[in-house]
Amino acid sequence: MRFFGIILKQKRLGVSKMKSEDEAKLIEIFRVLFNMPELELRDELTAREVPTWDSFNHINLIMNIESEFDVRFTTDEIASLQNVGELKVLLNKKLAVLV
Amino acid sequence: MVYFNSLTFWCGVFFSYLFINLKVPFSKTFSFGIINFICLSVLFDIKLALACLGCVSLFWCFLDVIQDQKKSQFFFKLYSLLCIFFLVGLFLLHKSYLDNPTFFNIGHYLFDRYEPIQPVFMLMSTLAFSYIFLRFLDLFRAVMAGNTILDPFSLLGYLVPFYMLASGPVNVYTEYVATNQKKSIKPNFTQLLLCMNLITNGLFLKFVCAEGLRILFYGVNGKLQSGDLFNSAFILIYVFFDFAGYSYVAFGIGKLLDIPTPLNFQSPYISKTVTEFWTRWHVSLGDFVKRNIFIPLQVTMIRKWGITYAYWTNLIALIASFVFVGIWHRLSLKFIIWGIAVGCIVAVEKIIRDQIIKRDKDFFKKFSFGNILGPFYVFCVIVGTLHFAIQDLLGQ
Repeated sequence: MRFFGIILKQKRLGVSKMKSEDEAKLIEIFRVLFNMPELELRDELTAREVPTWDSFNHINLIMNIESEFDVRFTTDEIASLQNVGELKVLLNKKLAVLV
Repeated sequence: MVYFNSLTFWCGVFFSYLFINLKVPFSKTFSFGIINFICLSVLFDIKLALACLGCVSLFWCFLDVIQDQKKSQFFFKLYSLLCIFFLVGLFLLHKSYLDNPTFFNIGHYLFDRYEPIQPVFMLMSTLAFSYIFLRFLDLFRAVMAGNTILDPFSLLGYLVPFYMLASGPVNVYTEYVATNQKKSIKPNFTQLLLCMNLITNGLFLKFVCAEGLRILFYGVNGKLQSGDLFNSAFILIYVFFDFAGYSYVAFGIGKLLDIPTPLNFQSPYISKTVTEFWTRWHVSLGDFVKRNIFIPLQVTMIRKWGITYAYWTNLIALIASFVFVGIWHRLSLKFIIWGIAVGCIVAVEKIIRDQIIKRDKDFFKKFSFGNILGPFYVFCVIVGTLHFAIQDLLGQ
């Protein structure tokens, strides 16, 4: 998982930039789920910085993203995510496969 | 198993450091695998080391066969299930022998009745030792998820590392594999000094703080006692110094050999909730449970029952994870109850926390008394839950 995370970090510079409509959808999911309308999605944002981002909401977040973007994450991928940047990279990768 | 006071062990560490920094045309994990095999042979017995290598090689073959079956979903799932049952069965057999529970005494039953099985059983017991069992599970899960299967020597270095045998930590297979991709750190004095600092800190915690406290309260040859809350509180403090000390030594040796070794303790006694405590105490075990039990269980349940039941699946996964931790410590009814109790406490904390945050998101930032009351509350709860199961833990 960390290996996967490390590979993601190396590719982050090219792949973490999302389409604006996808990014908007992602921000909306975060804001509604964590009940923080003013939340800004930085790549470095982690669960520690968001009071309501616990293990339950982490899984909820993933399930909501899967439903919204019609993608599927493996449990390895879910467990390996360290911050929003890595989530974006992973999501971009999944969306690229769909196109 | 205490060998940090053994000269042979430290000679092994010293020569491992020299050898691992030699420029050889092998991968890092293979080099470490060879060094590890030699250290195991010297520290224990070459026959045991060869037997472990043999078992690991068999497991390597089995993993290779399972990976080849990926095209056939039926055989892939069948072999995977067989593997899981075998590993868990071996672990429970070992635990039933070691812990001698009244409700599941098959270990002693087999061992005492059938003499020829005894050496095989002892080898199986070694491989089913708690930390090795967890590494086998992590390896299995990582390989089933598509990660590389390393060669048998490298696998031996991951599964039975000589400096992590006694009390972990539970290193991560994918991090171990990634070692081969990373650039080796050139030996330098600063790095060496940092590692020596970690090792000496660990030795200080273990042999000065922990043993000093034990001698102070129970005498030079005194053993840890259970019985009242004071003893349980003392054991909690003693175990921290002892275990954290050991973990720092293992962490320092890992850094010296440039082999990924997680740090196990992150100031657990400043935790404000029991939930936070278990993310700071024995971190590598917590991470293992999170990625191998908690997340897969919860995700599977949500995908089967729907997101409407997400809250309940979270609570079930929490309790199941702590029951696993309880059984892993001791195969006894008390530890199963302990796991359920701690899981329920964490679940209740979550419910209360969610209700508070609904009303006031910044409550925990404003409530500065929590920095004093929180650790006191956590200490009382942990001592209380430990007191319930301490006799089983000490085998008294």
